[in-house]
Amino acid sequence: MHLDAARPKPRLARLSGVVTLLAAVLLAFALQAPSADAAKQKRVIAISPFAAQTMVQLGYRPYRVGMTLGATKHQKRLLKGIPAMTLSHPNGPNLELVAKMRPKIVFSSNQWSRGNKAMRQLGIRVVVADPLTPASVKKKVTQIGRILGRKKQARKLNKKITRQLNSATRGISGIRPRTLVVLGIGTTAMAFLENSWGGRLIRMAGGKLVTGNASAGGGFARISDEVVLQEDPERIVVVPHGTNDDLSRVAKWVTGNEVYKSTSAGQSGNIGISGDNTLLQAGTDLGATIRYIRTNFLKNW
Amino acid sequence: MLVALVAATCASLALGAVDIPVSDVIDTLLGKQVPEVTRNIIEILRLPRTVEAILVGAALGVAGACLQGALNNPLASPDVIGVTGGAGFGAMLVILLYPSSIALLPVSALFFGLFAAMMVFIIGFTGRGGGNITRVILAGIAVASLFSAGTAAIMAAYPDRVPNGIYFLVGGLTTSGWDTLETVWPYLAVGFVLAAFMIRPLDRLMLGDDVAASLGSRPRLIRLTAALAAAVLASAAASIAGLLAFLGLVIPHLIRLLGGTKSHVFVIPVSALAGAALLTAGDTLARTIAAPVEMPVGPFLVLLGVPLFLWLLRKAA
Amino acid sequence: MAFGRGSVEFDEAAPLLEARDVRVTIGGEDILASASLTLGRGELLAVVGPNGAGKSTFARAFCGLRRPDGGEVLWKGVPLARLRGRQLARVRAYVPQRAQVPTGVTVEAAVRIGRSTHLKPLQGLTAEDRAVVEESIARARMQGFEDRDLSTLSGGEMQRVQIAIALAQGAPVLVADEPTAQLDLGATAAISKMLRELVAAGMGVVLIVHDLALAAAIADRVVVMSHGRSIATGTPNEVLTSQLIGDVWGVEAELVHREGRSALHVEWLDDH
Repeated sequence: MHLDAARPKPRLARLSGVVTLLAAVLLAFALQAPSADAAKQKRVIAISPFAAQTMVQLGYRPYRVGMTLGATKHQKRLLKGIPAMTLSHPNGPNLELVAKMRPKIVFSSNQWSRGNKAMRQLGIRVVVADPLTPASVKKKVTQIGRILGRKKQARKLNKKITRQLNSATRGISGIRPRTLVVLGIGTTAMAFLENSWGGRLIRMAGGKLVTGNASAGGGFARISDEVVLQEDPERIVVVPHGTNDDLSRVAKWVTGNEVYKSTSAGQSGNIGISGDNTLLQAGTDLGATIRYIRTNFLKNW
Repeated sequence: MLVALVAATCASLALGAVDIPVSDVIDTLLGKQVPEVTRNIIEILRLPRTVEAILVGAALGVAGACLQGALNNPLASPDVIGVTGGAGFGAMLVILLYPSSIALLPVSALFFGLFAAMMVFIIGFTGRGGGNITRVILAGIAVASLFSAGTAAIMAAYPDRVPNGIYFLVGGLTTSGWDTLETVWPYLAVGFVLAAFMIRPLDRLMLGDDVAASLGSRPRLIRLTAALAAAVLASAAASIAGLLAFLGLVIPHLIRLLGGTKSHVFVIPVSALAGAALLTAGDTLARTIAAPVEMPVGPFLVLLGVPLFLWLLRKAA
Repeated sequence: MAFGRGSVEFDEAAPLLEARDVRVTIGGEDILASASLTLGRGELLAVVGPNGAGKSTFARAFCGLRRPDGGEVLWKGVPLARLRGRQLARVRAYVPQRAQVPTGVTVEAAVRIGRSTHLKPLQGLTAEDRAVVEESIARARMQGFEDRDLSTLSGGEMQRVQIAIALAQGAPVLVADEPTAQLDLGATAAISKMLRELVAAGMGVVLIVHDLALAAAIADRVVVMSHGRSIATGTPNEVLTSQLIGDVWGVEAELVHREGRSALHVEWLDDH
């Protein structure tokens, strides 16, 4: 009797213990919900790689970034752990998914103009803060910093960029190697022009861009093999389309290309292949990129 | 067919990269309270797209039927009167040369589509021997080639902007919001009304020019007006959804094969319904099969439609 | 395509069709120099003549399929020029010599198309229209053929369908260009009987025929054409004399015609 009377008590106690625990958990969830909402308010998606890199370096972690091909090791390290959204033409990210995420801001590129318009119609603030030239990188960093309320960090980042840039461009002599930069291989290959990102980087790195006097609004133009031979560049840089898987195939084509082989660049072994997108895509690591260009391609470090 | 259309519409509104239950869809449409995200997705992203799919599908179906009746040729489609070539050129012009004024795209596509059709009509329908079907078709092919070449030329000049343009060329409904429809709906309305009035005259034309004349119609005028209706509908459709001419060719045939009659009283309205249903269903599939990536509708429809079409052709023979 | 040109008042007292001195010029040449005919109710008029005489051109001209370059055409007292589209379709039905035969169209569908002149663009067929369609098919002796595809019909059957289409128009005049040219004896006889029935019911029929014996047997009056002119009008016996046949066709022949039977005795191998 005594025992029977004693047993229900611990059970009851256990039960009420469980109930209390459950209640506590539910309460925690309920309390979590508004703060989850609050977190939602601060969600920023960075589709543009430049904006993504900048944000991370400003200490504001993006909720999502856009998946890009050909990122450098450094860039990948920066964005490690942040989930990526697949981007496809013409909208960029899947608009319904973006709508569901209810971001405060989306940093996008002009490439996704249709998607940008749609996101604005959904009431999302879309900012395009991609630098069009290396010279405007710092301005855009400042802009992103201002929007995110990280002005101090932006100033610090800009100082770092300037420092890196200065060290990377040290000792550039008046002698500028004549450099041809080519996008893609085969019959669809196009030369980088003065007004392309890569073209400007070459100039900053101390090279003289060979373009055969072509000009086009888009920054690229086809130049014929004849013009290549006539211009006779001292350095050639090949930038493949697409992913890194192509590299071996690209290398094979480049080494077999008679036209390139017969130029000064070919004969002096100065044909290089770019393994990432730094010549195509704006990034914050200008200094590192220029040093890479000087070391591997221009050979003027 | 009507049932198919309604089903396709529901599917289109309910399915997508984000799961939304059908009850929520209905609630949103009825104006009841739903979470803001749901409302945004449905009203801004899916509803305009579904409505566009219905209208464009219907427009292309009717355009194809009108043209095939007017030119008395089963190969007639909006390609043949130069509309798709012109619209493609107009669109690429904006995408490649003036990408910041992307809002002008539908206007440009419409304008050049109609312009190309006008060229074909002037060459094909006027002067001695005008209205001769062979002449119209040849003129159409020539004009289409002209604009194709023009398109290729601008693409070669701005190769880096081309990917944006390819999506249009290949046919896809991805606009958000109602702006394109707002610009273009009057043309769709005019086209549909004209086509409706052409139903009986086209039937008369089927019995031969003489009998049509006996019945009080003017064969040349019927051909011209029906072709004009087709041109307006196809241009408007192209300015919204890119180049989906395949629909215009295949749908009327499908309807004739399935319905067993060539009478336009049947073929034209049912082509409209079928086109609407097919495009809506196709677009829904294109959006959801490889989510989150959206496949372009054009090739998708062709992949689905061609085997079906070939099978039907064999069965009918 | 009818856009109303104001109401047109037909004169019921006037002959169904009056054509006077009609002229048609093609490429500077007078294909039709001067042709005339008059058609009254309940009358079957045959237009005969050698090839190239301008019979078809004349018919197309007064039917409004081709604008005449000269002369006058009055339908029930109203000038042709004032009649447009539907109004013209309500007063005359033209059956061409060789019509396109589309596939995928049934007899019933085709006759309904013939009725479409009575319908507004977006309106459907009324009960009355359906009745007329049924009746037209019956009068053309094509009952039972309603669901047959036009492309499966024989020549004679197709001609009867053409007539059914013309009847569905509800016009008082039927103009047929060589309806029996490709038909065999039996089919020709069937069409002939049908045409006489129509005439007996009060319609006016103009027939372009080659066969003089047929013309003589079934027509009330005959118009002879030669070199773009109508040169004689009257009953078959009056007009189709050996003299005239010799002048116009250049062949020695005699028409024998009595009580519904006719025969043309021709000197086929005569050398003059």
